[in-house]
Amino acid sequence: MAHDRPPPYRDGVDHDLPLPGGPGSNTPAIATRRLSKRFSGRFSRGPASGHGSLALDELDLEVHAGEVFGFLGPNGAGKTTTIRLLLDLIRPTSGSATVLGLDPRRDGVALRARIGYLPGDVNLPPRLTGRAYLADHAAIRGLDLRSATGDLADRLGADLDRPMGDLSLGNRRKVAMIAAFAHRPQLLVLDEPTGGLDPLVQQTFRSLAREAADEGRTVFLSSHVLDEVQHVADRVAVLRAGRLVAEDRIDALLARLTRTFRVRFGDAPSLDQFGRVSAVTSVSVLPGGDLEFVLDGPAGPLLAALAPLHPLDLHGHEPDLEELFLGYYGATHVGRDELNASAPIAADRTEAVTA
Amino acid sequence: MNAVVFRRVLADRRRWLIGWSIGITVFVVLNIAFWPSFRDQSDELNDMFDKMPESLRALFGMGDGVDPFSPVGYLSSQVYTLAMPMLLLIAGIGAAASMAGDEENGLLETVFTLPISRGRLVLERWAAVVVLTAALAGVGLVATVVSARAVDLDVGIGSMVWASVGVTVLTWAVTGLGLFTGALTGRRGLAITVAAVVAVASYLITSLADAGIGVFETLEPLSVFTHYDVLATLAAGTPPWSFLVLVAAAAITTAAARWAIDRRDLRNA
Repeated sequence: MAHDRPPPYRDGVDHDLPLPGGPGSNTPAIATRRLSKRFSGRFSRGPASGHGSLALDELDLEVHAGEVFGFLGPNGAGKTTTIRLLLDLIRPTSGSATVLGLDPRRDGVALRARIGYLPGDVNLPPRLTGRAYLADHAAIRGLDLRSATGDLADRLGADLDRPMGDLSLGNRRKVAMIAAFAHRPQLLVLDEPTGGLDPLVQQTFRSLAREAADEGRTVFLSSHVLDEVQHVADRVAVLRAGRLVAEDRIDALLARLTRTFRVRFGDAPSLDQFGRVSAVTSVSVLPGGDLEFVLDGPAGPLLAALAPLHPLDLHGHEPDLEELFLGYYGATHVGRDELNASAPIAADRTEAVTA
Repeated sequence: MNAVVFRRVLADRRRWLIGWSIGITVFVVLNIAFWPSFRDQSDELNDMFDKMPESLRALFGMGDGVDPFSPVGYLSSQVYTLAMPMLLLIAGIGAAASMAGDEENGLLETVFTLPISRGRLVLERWAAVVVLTAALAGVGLVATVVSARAVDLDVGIGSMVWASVGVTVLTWAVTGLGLFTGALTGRRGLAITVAAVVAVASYLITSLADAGIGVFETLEPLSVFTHYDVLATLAAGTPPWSFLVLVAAAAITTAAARWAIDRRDLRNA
């Protein structure tokens, strides 16, 4: 068996041999070609079409070695399906994937020695302690990871000595995160990594991901929340209904993003006067009299226009994936009902004036 | 070769092993404890059994010209024909189906992303089931030998050893089918059902065939209980060649399970 050979690196010390997809290599860390997956019958998810449902539709993706790649999309878009294909948990209906230059099925054991995976649904044996669980993983990998495990547990504040069934979701996720990072894999595949984590731990996670990339390792980060990836990713791809709809550098994507501000006034001004303010794409009146402005450019002109009107309060909120889609394609191209995104849709909008 | 998965299953099954060991011991001791009073009433019971139809007697594990009131007949009918296989099968089928159960609960997902092949995982988990069921059969054997001594149930140790070997390979053959079904479908409930149905159907086929019912005699070679043939084993004190059929069945289902798990999508929890 392949893993009877000595592992390519021991105890976190990166090997010197240039491996495909490794640091200094031109081989992409992940390359998919027309990768498709159709689920049949009762296993089907997502919109049905023909026999079963097409969860992934001819995905062409290239993730470079050493980058942090954000893989975005609403729930059910096919992100987890893609990850499960890359890890050979499921097999493609058609198309192919190469991970670190290897075939996920044929070279599965050798490949998985170089991957760290954090699942979106963290299922851990409830009666086992984190320490015993991580020791099993290290033993299967043939590595001594005790010091790496201890360091990560300190940084994340993980409790490794209680049965994992007694831990909160956030604390179980910390154990799973240690399992993914401890062996310093060439490729980290992280599925919705920060759900259930407090902001401090999320910050630690971002540092870990960034450090991995700085060492030339690749991070593949899947999320349905833009906020989770925008501070750490170099490039992002956006998936919707099994299809790749955008792939770009994160700064380019954010530049096209619209932002929303809510403003409260003592006396509500007329909407007309905002029609010609630069970068304002729409203004609407919310119940209660607040105004909501959508901007696709610098905020200065709007603030200048607002100042003489004596606003009482100004509130901007984080752009979400839905707005990302809207910014990319306009509301007419992406129906809201199709966007099963996590962020609540402002259903309380009563009137809209398009500038 | 560090067999992490194998050792983990054994460690996780420690309480299971203790619980089943106690259960099997109690069952064996209670059944054998009735031997003295049974022996003393053998004349009356003989009359009663003589009036029973042959098929009913076969169901109780009597026949083949072995006197049911002899020590061998008693040990066969009270321990090895039904009770011991039933307990071991319930324990073993549950253990063999647990891999599918872990898959359903999403616990296998991360294991399958480690550098271990699916086939290797199946083999290690199956090896643990093989060892655990053999250990339970060993506990049953010790309980049988000790309590038989205590009540002067005069059966040779060789007979009891080979009967226990028989019940072990019988368990492997049936649980192997559970393992295969679980590996093929990833469904714990289905794995248990298929193995249990095969066990019960086999028991009925062999019993009714022993009773001379034609259609069941045709089916008899398909039944695992036919190859188990424990009454003859106890009487002769040597193993029948048919044990090898059970070993082969276990080997084939294991190989089939390895093949099956490698050719499908794993289930998402």
